[in-house]
Amino acid sequence: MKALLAKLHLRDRHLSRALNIGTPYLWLGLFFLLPFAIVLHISLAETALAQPPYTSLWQWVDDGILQIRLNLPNFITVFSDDLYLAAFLNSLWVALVCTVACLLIGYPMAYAIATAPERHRIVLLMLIILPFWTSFLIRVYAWIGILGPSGLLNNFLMWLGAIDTPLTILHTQTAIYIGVVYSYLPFMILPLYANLTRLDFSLLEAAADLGCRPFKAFLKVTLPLSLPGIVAGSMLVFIPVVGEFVIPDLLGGPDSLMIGKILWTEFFSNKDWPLAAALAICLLGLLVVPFVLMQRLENRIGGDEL
Amino acid sequence: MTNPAERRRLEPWQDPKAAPYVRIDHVTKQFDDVYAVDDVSLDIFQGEFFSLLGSSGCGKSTLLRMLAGLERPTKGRIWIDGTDVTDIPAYSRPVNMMFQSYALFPHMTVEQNVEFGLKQDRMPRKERAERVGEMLALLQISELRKRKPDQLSGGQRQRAALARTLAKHPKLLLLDEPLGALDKRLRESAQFELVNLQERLGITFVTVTHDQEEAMTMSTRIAVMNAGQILQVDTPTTIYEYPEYRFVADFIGLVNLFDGRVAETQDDQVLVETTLGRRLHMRCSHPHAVGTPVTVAIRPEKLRICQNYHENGVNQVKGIVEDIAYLGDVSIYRVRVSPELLVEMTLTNIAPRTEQALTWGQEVAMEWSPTSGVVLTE
Repeated sequence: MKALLAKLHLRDRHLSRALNIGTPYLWLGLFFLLPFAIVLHISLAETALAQPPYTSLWQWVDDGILQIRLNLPNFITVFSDDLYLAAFLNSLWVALVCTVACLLIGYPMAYAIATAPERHRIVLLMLIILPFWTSFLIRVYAWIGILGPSGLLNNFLMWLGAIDTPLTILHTQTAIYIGVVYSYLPFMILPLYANLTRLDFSLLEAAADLGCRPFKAFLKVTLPLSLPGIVAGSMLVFIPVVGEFVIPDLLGGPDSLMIGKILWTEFFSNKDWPLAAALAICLLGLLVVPFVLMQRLENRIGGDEL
Repeated sequence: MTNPAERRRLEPWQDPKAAPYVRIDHVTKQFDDVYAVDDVSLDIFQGEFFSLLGSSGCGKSTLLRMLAGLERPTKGRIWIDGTDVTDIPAYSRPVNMMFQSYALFPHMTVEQNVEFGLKQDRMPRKERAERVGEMLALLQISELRKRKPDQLSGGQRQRAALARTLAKHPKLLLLDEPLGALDKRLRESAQFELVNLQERLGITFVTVTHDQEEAMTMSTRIAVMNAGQILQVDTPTTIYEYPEYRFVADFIGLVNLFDGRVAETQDDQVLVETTLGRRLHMRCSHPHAVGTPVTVAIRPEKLRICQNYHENGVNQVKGIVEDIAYLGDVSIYRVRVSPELLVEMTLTNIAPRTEQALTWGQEVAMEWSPTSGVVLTE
């Protein structure tokens, strides 16, 4: 009897462990792996004038044989057409420039908030989070009003007498940079802030005591210790910006190709779902690479701390 | 006794011609409207192991941080080895500090931590490696050189921090609660080790501590601080035997305090009429006018059991044993002599505790000699 109870108990423990480990896998499987499989499936199909607008991968031929046809031309198109390659490269470039810009602007801001007196911190953090209370779309639209030929910025500069004719900023790559940096700055600041508030400032005092000037102490102590925050913030900016669609669509011009925008066009204007799906798969592959690299880096830093 | 030259070497503060190594001159530090350090003047001599002792918030750490250059005095000047360092920032002072939390850089190995200060001085690589090796050997942590701080035990961390502060051969070593984070057993051995290290290196040490036992064991002199001010600066023996203030007597060790007024005074003797109604006959260094309110302070170990208690006897009190704290080597008896006053008496346990006559609820008379206490006015 006792043995049976123990056995049951053991099975119970196994079950609960399986549930504990299984739940996140179930979640990932249902909401990440399954959609991915569907997209992959579409990317291997052909366009068709049907609902949904692609062919099925498998069909039954006469004598009960299941025929599966995988179409690779979509991927071939993606890799052979210069348009897509240029768009991919430009997306990476925009993401890189904007991540660096966010880091350069966000780091001092996060540092200032983290070192501000405790009673001011909440207010400053609120100011960072406050824009989220307005729709993202409206905030990007607002930039059209600011950057346009007769927008706030040009009017102001002309009023100052700094320029005679309006600057062309809207519908250029510059406008995309401005819009992206503005929109994604909080994603850089918040993880950096979280990291910097945990910094033990007696370490900086120790560095000073050992003969280190303040700026060097920052380089030798603060910066290396905030590397996990920098990595986290950069990932939060870089990855979504590569696939960003709204900002290039509203602020960008015809010469600023970004993969997110092309994906949108293929999907909704050209109704070429398989090609769009193939693009999405390539984009995913492109993003997994830096992600894995950064994860490795983070693990190395984390491992070093142990 | 030692000859005068030896005495001057061991106790430079006794020598009126000796130049102080550290001079704190009327230093005040104000945070908003709080005076953390209030007009403190202090001379510390070369080779001293000097302790700043006080409860938390008394200003001892602020004073230490001003020596390190991490805080700037609101008023007053600080001199180290003949140089006015008041306006010199921490990174250019010939002073190193061991932080209470040790403040070891978590992203560097023990070796890199120790090397950090030397790198700032642009010491050549070869010399640097030698010095690091020397320091690690001195503190017996050579085999831990490749470890990161969070792979070390508390005691090892303390050693690593000490190695880092000593590596630059500072003129003055500041230690903020150097043994505070260690457990009791480790602390005792670390105390002796620290003193040996200081004697061997000849560096002047200034430590901050709230632990009076630690200060007594290690220091050449102790400054007792309270509310931003230094009350008394003296050798551990003098601080213990001849405290000048009620606060000092009370802060260091156990003490019995009898309040009263001076009834008679003659040469260096006073007769004190206590509020208990007993008369105490004490020797005291300063003459006190008749009627002055005073406090007589007597250490528990100076009391002994009185065999011939007299109604009008001087330096005698009587009461009921209320508590006995058995500490192994000694026992502390807490004797209720009046509804308001408990007198503590320490007796060495010559016979095993179980065979001793004195027990709870028993009446006991105690006495002491006129030279075994002090008469305090403040």
